[in-house]
Amino acid sequence: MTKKGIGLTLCLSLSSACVSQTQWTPTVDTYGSSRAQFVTRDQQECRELAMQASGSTAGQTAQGAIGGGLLGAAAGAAIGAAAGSAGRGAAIGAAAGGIGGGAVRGTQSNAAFQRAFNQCMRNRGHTVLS
Amino acid sequence: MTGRMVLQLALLLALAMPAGAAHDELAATLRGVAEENTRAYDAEDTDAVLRTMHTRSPEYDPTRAALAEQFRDSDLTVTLIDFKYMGHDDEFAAARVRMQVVGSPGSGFQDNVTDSILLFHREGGVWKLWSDDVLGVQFTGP
Repeated sequence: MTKKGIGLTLCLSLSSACVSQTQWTPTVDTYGSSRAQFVTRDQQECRELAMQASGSTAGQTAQGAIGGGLLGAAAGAAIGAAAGSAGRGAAIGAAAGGIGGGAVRGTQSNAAFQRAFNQCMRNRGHTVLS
Repeated sequence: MTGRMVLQLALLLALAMPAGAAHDELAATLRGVAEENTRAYDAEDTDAVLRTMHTRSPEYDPTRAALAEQFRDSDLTVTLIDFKYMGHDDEFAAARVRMQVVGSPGSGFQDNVTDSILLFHREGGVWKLWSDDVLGVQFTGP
């Protein structure tokens, strides 16, 4: 498995925000919709766009949800693998504004992702319920 | 246990922190657990890493699974660079630690220093890692 693969795997196992951004999908009402057959395709494309719009790189999602999952040295190892190409010298969490900053960033990133995902689907003519 | 709960418990333990020889002895014991965790990780000794962890910790199984991948695919150097004992009650003890993780050159690994609160819990009379809450991460390169 490549480093990127490791990072993604660990991100998935570590991070509630990461998991939700990977798996979360807006609920779409296809009743009476002439575009119902495009829902799956549009969801895939909108997911990618929403990830970009919310700045949800693998590194950021890992950074944002680092409050739990792995214990001790393994946590830092997972973060480093997932962060990959995150900017040198970047800092999050306490250094970025107080205890819990990392978790806050994850929550904000997740909300931005969902908003972007919903808007994208609406722009493509789908009725989004959530 | 959620991150918020870890922090709240750690702060309560810190407020209840006693002074004296017992405090120093416990601090040294806990530091030893953290040092053994990093030493064992550095040596890629899965069994030794797991021995530093409480087997009923909610993070035990995820960590055990992750270790297999990390040791197979990475060559990391882990160093405990700071340890501050915070306090304890009858069940838990807390410490704030900073760990540095450095990847091999060209590996793509993002070197970092994590700033965490570790909770310790006794198992069979031995203090072990129970959970942690990462307060922040400083990415240090490459």
